[in-house]
Amino acid sequence: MSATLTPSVLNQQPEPDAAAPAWLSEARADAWSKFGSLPMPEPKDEPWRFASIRKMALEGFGVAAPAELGRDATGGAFTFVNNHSVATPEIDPELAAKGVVIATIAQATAEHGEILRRFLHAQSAPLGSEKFRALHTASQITGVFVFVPAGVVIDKPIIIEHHVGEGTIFPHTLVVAEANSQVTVIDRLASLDNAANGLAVGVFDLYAADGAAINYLRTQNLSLGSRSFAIGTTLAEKDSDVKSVLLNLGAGWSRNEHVSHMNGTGSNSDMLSITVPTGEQEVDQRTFQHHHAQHTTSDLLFKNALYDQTKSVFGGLILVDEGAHHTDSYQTCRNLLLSDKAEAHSMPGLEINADQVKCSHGSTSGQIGDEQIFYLMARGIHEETSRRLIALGFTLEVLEKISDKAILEEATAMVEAKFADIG
Amino acid sequence: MSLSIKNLHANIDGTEILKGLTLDIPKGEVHAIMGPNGSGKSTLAKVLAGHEDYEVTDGTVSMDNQDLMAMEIDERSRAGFFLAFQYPMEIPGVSNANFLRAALQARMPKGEDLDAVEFYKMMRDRMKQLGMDEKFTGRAVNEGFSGGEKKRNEILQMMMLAPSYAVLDETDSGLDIDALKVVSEGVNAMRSPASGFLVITHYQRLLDYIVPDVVHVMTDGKIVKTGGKELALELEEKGYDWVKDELAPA
Amino acid sequence: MDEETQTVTTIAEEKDTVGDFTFPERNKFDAGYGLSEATVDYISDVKEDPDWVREFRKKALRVFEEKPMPTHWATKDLEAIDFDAIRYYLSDGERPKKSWDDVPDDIKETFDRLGIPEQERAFLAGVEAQFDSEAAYSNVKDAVSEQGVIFVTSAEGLKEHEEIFRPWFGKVIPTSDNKFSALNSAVFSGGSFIYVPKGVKVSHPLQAYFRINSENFGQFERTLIILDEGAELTYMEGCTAPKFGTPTLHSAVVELVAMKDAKLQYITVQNWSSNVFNLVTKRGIAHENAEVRWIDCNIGSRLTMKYPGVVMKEPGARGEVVSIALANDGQHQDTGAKMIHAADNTTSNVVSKSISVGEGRSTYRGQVHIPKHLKGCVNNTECDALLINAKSKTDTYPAISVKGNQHQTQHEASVSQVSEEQIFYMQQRGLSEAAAMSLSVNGFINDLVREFPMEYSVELKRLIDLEMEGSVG
Repeated sequence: MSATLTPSVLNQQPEPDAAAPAWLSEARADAWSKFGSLPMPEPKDEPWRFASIRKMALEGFGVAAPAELGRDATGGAFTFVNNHSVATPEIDPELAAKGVVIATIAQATAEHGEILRRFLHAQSAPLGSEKFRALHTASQITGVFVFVPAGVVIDKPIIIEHHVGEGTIFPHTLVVAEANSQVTVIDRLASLDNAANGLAVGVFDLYAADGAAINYLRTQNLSLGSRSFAIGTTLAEKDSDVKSVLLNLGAGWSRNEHVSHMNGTGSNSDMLSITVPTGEQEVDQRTFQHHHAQHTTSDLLFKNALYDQTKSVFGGLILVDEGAHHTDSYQTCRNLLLSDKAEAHSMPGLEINADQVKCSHGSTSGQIGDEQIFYLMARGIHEETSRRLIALGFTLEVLEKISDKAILEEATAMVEAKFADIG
Repeated sequence: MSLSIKNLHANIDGTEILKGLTLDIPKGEVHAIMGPNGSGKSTLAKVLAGHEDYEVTDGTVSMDNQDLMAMEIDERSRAGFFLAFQYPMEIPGVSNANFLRAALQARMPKGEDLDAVEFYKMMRDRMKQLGMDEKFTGRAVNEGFSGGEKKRNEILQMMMLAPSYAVLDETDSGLDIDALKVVSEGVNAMRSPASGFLVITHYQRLLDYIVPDVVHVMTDGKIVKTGGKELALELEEKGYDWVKDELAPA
Repeated sequence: MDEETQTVTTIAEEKDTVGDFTFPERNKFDAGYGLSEATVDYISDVKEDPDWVREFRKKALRVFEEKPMPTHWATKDLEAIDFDAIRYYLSDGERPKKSWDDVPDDIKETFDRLGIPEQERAFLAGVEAQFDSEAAYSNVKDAVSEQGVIFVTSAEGLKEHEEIFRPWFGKVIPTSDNKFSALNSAVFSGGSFIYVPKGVKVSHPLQAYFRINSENFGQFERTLIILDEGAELTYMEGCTAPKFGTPTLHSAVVELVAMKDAKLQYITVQNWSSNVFNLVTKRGIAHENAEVRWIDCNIGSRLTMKYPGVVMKEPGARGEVVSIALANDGQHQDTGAKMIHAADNTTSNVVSKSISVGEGRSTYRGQVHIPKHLKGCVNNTECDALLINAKSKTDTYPAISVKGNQHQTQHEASVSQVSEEQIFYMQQRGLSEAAAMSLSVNGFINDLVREFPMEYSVELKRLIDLEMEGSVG
């Protein structure tokens, strides 16, 4: 880890981009003012309850300098290293002909500015990280803009990779699926090497118009000295369906905030997450399922398998607006504590202002049962392996809800790999 | 004395389902209605029961010379009308026994209490008749019941409430042969000059066990053909299209 | 239809107009409006408090004045409390005398509908002649004092039995716990102080109103119950009948102590009139293998904020909260539980069922805390909410903190409603819409109502039926 002399991103206004259109430059400048005016979070703030704010330690991260990936870029994937694009796959000409846009944000800004500006940075961060969302907007962001016109179905998943060494990156994924379209996006966040400590302040916004379907996987596997923010919003219009999976495997300290708005009748959002921290990792997850219309559904299932001295905080709220009758909404958070120093805090919440709703939330915290271990060992499996298998099974259950093959395969592989490391 | 339906028109959310249905069920008889999906059979059942989703726009229904349409849902029940639901509801926390007691108590004259001992005896006897395990009395109404158990529970309730007119809405759906037999025995045990039955079914099979006196065919919101029990067999053989074709203008 | 006449609103109106049904005010002792050190002195003078109690009160007053209202997490409705418009101490030395004939017919009918026993009716209507609570109280007191049980008011407890009560007084709930425990600590009066000696199992539940004296409808009741090793007691406070014409702020503190192997059960049925702010702090400490159970039913008041808690201080301790809340128009029941595990192998259990009717709001706030270095702790929480009407509201905010891999916690919450199809089904069986609704609602809380003693459970069911009547249609 080099002793960096670059100033912290918290203190230095990002360089303006001469090539950026006026609307974007203005938005960035406004965001920087906003960032400055908002206070840093404090333990007494409700949205930060139970979080170890001192562990955040964001001062040491400056702007990331360009770097090499160190290997060939994954074929067909959008690849970014230290906030710079290093590989951009060509879009399939058939899709392009239909009006599909799959481009880096930089490209999209230049060539599809009119559509982009309708959606870029249009969402806020109501769950506590408004300051960091503003920092993101103020900075040079890198990422991919996916725009799928009405009726178009994209079979092949769109793969995005963000890599960070030392310094800060601002990954941004923006997916806009118009009426009755379908698309799958896989977002991977990793460190260049285990000794490099970086900060990722990331955003993902998923817009599903009437009847659209979006499948989204975000895996985060940063080095243990890194920090990560992932601030996401799902907007589901009439009869649309969005399924998102967040895998939290790395970073010493991470915070995910995900808001789902079920805006249109018949819309659905599935919010799934698997977290397997080790060492002294802390994972902070806050969610919000907001039902605005009638006959909407949402289903949240988060599972945390906590080793060593790790800590997880989960705060989730289901809010059903007045008049949003016939809503079915579920929220489950299960914590498996695998060491006597692990810690889990859960705050599942419900605010129901309509009737004819079916809502429930549940949260459990427990450890592996002795009978389960005994059963596996009685079949000749070593104790350590038995524990690992049980913990693995516990987390993979979340994936039973996924039907998208690409996401299912990748997520399963990553979780298994993490467990293999622990074993 | 009969359940007399004349020119009944009813719609839901503005769509008309019953389009001038006329039907007369005298006490002492068992009538069957058969019809394809979407003909309005279940709607008829619900409209007779007084379900608020439906609007009656024309026609009359009189039960033993009382205007049924002028009564509230529960009044119709206490006046002797029973509907065996196609999808019986679950009522968590309310035991079968307590529910039946409440229903029977509602029929007692003001100030009088149901005799608990007699009630329990009657309930146990009926349950035995229907082959139902006694532990059902303590379980919440229909909660965790299989499809067959729910339908049997409907017949138990019917036997306990002893209605003048009972409409059985697709009672046979979801039942295996054994359950079908038991349910049919229950219904047959209640046949008498004092009660009239309307059995709504899609399949003829039930009518082998509950043999009807009269069979009606319903399509598109109206009764289009009436006959004896052989009509049911003919329908099974030839299908509903046969009726449509028969009735089509030449 | 019929005699199912009174809607909830009518009763609610009557509840409030009964304030006009006045007692001849002969207030022998009246601290006047507003709160200051002079008020506290007045109270201590009247009660002839020992010096240490006077000091305790004064310190508490200072804490109360410094603490802000907790509106950053609680409802802003709290801001409607006008502390200057409250009389903090009022007693007339004697009970008000009125004759049963003066009681309005509607009130009589409410009692009738609820099946309130004759004796209680008179008492609750403020009629002295037909109900001698002092006599009933002395009878019970005599019966239990033979076993060595001490059953007195807070003033008497602190004066005559200082050596027993002082060690725990203000320890289970420190003055500074929250703004309202501080208020209570400054101006408390009335309430029960009970001590049960080792091994004594009190067979008959002790009730609050047996020992009511002139300080009725305790505004700032202070209760402290200590069970010595192996002792057992059930205590009941409140009753199902609405309390009429009471002051608008009730801020009570209840401290319970269960020593090794003791079992203490505290039952409350709250039905204050709909203008009352009911802010209560209740906590119990359970020692080795001891058990503290709170059984709580909240039906009245404009706003109730109450989070019964148990600190499981030694191994094997058990804490339980069983709660039923019903919130109707204009009401907010904000209740919950606090379970603090402070020893190995402790168990806590919370079952909360709430019903929101009309535009009522019910809120559950829970806290479960299991710190590091402990083993074998278990918590189960179940909170279910039933919404009756389209504008009924409910919230759930639990916080569960577990450290270490030796524990099990489980939290389940659900929100549901009585569906229209369910009501239709029951009506088709001959039940009126109101009867169908009430059967469903009673089914929902059935398991919990069984926790209450027989007499209460019957009255409770009727009370809930009464509340439900106005909701239908």
